[in-house]
Amino acid sequence: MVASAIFITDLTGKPLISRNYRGDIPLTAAIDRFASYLNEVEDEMKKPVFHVDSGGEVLNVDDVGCTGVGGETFVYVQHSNLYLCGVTCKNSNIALMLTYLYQLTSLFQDYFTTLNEESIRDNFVIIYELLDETMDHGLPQSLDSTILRQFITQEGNRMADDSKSKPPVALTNAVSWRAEGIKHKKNEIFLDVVEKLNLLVSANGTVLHSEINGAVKMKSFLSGMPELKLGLNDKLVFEAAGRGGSSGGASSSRAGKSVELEDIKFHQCVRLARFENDRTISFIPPDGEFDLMTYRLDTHVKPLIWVEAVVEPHRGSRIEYMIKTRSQFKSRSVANNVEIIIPVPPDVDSPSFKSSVGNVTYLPDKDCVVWTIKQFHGGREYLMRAHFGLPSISREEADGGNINKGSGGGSGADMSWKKPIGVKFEIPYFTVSGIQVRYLKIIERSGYQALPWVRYITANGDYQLRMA
Amino acid sequence: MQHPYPPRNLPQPGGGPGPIHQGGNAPTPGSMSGGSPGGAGKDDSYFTESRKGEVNELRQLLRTFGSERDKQRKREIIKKVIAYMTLGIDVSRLFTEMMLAIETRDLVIKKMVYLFLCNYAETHPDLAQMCTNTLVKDSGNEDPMVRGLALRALCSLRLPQMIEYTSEPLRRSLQDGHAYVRKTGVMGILKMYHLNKEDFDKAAFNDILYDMLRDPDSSVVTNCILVLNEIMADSGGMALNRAVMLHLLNRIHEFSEFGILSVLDLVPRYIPANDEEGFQIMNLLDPVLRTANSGAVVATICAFLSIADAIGKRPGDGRDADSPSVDDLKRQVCVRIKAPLVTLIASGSNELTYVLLKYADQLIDLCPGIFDDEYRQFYVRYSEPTHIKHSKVRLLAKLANPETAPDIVAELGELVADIDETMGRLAVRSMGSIALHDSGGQGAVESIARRLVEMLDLQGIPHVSSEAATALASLVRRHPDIITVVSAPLPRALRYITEPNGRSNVIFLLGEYGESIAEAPYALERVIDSYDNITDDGVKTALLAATVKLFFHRPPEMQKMLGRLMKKATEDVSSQDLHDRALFYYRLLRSSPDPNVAKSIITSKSMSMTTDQFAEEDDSEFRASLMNEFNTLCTVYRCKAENFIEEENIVKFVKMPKDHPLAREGNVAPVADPGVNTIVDQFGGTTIGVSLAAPSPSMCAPPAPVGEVDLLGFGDDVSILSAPQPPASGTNSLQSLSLKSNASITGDEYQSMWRAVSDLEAVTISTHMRSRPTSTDAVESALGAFNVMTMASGELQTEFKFFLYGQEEAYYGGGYFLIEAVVMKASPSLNLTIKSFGGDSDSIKRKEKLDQLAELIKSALGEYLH
Repeated sequence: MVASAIFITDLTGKPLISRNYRGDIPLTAAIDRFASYLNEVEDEMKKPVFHVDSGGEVLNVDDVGCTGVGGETFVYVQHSNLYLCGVTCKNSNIALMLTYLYQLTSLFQDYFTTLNEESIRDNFVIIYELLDETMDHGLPQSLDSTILRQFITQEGNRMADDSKSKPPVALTNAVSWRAEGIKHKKNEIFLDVVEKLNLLVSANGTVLHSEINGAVKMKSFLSGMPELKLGLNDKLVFEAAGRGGSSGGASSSRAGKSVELEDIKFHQCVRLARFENDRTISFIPPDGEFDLMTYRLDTHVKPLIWVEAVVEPHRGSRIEYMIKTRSQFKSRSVANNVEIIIPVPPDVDSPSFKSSVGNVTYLPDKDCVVWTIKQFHGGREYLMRAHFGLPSISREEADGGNINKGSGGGSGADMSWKKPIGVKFEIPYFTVSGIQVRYLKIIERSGYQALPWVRYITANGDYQLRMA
Repeated sequence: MQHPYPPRNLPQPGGGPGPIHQGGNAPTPGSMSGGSPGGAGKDDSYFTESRKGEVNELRQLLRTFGSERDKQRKREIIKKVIAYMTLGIDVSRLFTEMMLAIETRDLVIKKMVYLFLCNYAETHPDLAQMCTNTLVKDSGNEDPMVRGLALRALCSLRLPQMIEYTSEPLRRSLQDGHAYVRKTGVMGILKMYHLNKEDFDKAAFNDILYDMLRDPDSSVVTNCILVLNEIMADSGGMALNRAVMLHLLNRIHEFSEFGILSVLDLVPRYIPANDEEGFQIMNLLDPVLRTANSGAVVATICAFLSIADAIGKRPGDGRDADSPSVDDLKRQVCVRIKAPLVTLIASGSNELTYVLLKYADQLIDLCPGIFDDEYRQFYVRYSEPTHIKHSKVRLLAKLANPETAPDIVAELGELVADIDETMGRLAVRSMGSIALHDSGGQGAVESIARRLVEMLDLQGIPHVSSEAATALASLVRRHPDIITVVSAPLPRALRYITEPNGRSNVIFLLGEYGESIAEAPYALERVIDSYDNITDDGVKTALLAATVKLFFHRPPEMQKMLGRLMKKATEDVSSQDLHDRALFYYRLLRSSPDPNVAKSIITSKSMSMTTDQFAEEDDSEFRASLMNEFNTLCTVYRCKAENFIEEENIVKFVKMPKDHPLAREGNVAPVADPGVNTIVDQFGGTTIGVSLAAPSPSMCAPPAPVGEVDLLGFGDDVSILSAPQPPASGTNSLQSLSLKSNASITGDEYQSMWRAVSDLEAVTISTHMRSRPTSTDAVESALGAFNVMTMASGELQTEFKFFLYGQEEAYYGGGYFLIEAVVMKASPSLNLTIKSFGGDSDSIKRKEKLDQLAELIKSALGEYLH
């Protein structure tokens, strides 16, 4: 990857801070072009990677190369009210540039807790330092916040006369993510297994796609250089054990409880070769918060919260909804803060609701109704009815008065139905995949006793049920 | 140097003075937007409205810097200057004052001043030069952090006149005890190179850098790789041989997340020594697919595909019958990488997903069907940004197979009526494409055709019916029998399809199949009668063709309207093409004595498609070339690099080492003897006089564009991967180089040509020899057999020297090649310097030819070499 420059702008494209690493492009002009891209290109046409030719013309993806060589490519990501953008005039590795920008965002967040226009302005000196340390001459260097923190601090370290500031060994160490000599009074480690359920259900009720995105998140407050070993009920572990061990029967009897994780990704601290060999997850954790592993399971999952909607529109007078929801998990689990978001046409009025449980509110600015159920026990079913008035002339018809302007007035009205029902929920002490932590061994030279804490939670990911 | 007058009336620094002066008005030149007040933050004072007067005020403030005792206040002063700089206000006038601040022990201040210097050095070269001393001094500071920072600043000044001051600290830094300094120094080399490519001592630095590949610190190694790749870009990137590659691969677990990438990017350029090694490398890299860094995952994918390409069996290359073919291997690779890639697509942020979908698209082209079973992953989500939705809809068509097609078509059907017009269009096109490529299995074509026909009738959504008509027209050309499904609604559709494209396609179908559609003539007649209202030439042309065709099928109904149309069209001057075409039809009809001749010409149905591809889709060559640039912008833009990247910025990476049998060129060259001692001497300060023309074999790493580099001291480093025996030599590949058998030039011509070509353009190669030739004659005759002539030769005490030449066949360009060959007697080695004169003007081609010639000479002298 070769980035000529990196800059951060606000949502209108006004530059907040920039660093020109190579000096091979005119940076001010480039930022201007980025701003004009933001302001002139329609939102739907915007793409995170775009090319501006040597004449300063923004090109459509398919037109790249049609106006001759030269120009620059911009790659940007958005974060709250900021754009972080990289510019290059070479044939760079785009996946890498994006990864860098993402990691830069999380690095800034790590430093300033919130990353927005204000925190950029307040911390510009540190940002310059970080930009210099994470990238040299357009080539990414170290982006590990735990390490960078040791020599780039909020207070700013000083070249005090007594103690010399040294770049931490860790910056260049084999264990690059952990410094030596960390001390905590209480040695604790928190482990959260978080699963997010992505679901897409078609209008006729068939599950089109379901998938679990899981993550094992850790918060480590351990002293010294601890060696950790994590045991999961991963199917492959048992298969390996069954093959190798003598008591194949015992392991296969337990196989029913094990889980096969499809694609696992680890934090860089995990010894991958070890995992490949015997599926042991062993590592020296970084200090503080990090994602130890993420995994994906593409299996057919019963939708945990099922929603059915019957809609009866009466053109020109009213529209009625009957929403039925059912929890399809064990009754001893509870889903908290369930929100069922039902889209409604934009021009409804005088809402009235009746529900057996929870609260219902109409959000006119989002054209939807939100049904909130604070506690939704497993194996229950609830009903909600909503009633709206409709204006006697629908918006489209009113617009449609001036000839056939709309690209299908009818279709526009239909679109409000096309919006899917969304569901938000959180089920603690439960994982959809059934993954469990069997053990977490912590070994440190000093031999202290450390406390591991484990939590499980399942939440909604991209959870959509299409409306009929 | 102290300022003579004391400061007066200054706002107290550090107290957040917030000077909002309404005094002088003109915004400073160079100010981007005048600087607007930031939010209501407490530190607002740094970003308040700025006026010219304030820069002056700042200057006043800076003058107090020397006398200021409080550290925090000192910092505040400098911070203010940097804040102004950040706003885009030109504070370069404060250069002198800022330079005074550089003498500080406060690291934060130092960093800020360095930043200031780097930003304004280019505009104030003279002043910048004055601070060199401080920087050089700092680069010898006892604190490694300061050493590193000073060095980085020194190299980033971008002032060519600074090179001479820089090189000394730079060389020193490369031997620094602290890795932070070394890694900064390595990057500094690259900065020097960019500053002045001509005078850059490539040879010397390359040797050092190659040596530093063995640095115990991985971040230093990473930077070495990155720097070498750029410095050697002209010759196809960092020179690779087996020892280097294996050394790096064996250490890959030491590298940081981004460091891994530098190694991974080398793998696609490495030609494994044999199949086994290829597989070993893949196994070694497999764990990388488990890292969370998407860049690394994609780079691994790229590496795998390239290895598969190198070790897979191709038809006719005479490899083992049981070794898997290239296609099989690539398929296996794709199966392996599928899950990680899909995970990244599913869980990545939108920007990344967009890019990865493009990658997936290209992988499907390479290996059709691999993502078929994951098709649900590519269903469009309501909440996604438009560009991702569009990419997904396009991809879905490619994922159809007999099993998945019904689901995919149903899903696409849902999207047709989407509020986003482009999406509706794409959905229809994707459907059409499934039918067209017959990927839906039995019955799919007909069921899709029925769906498309339904869409023709979607009166409310003109763009959908138009797209449907276009898709149907293509579909009927491919599957003529489905016209029975399509024909009935056509006349009706013509009434309300408004888009020109859709209209012309309906008209085309009516003309082509009008004989079986009862209402066809009347449908056309309505259009002909409203001819004056047609604005689109395409529709007019289609109408003309359709009417003439239908005339021959149904003359009685058509005759009159044809006459009317002919009149209109021949009088129509809006389009030359249309006008001419109408006249052509008219003359053809009038002049042919036998109407059947005209009929047979016009109505013969010869255009039913036999392949399932339109000509524009048949771009396998283009796709293959894109695959070479996988994981770059090319994939995102679907465009070759040379079409949109400026030539000087293009790096054409070369696969190395060329002598590996899988490159189909002879045996593995022996790895050079460790030359570590020489290099250490060089560090000691002796200047390195490696001329471009004659690299000595032990110094290796020839600077000029060469594929062949002996790297230092890696012979003992190969541990994990076993050292395989290279199989017997393959064949030479010398297709585009053909030398004249009767070339002849005089000595004078030779000399003048030799001088005319600069040494920089020469290719130099050095190889070890197994045995040395006994006489010059033996060499000459061996080369003569390959049409390489001898101008002069001689035996000296330590070496044989040859001046050789050859001329290309005239139709290949007729250029001359001049070769200076030196055979060292002591440790037998062959050093070649080859220049080309005349012939191709394309520099890349020239280089290719030079490389080929080098190979030719080596193979001619094969008996001595291996």
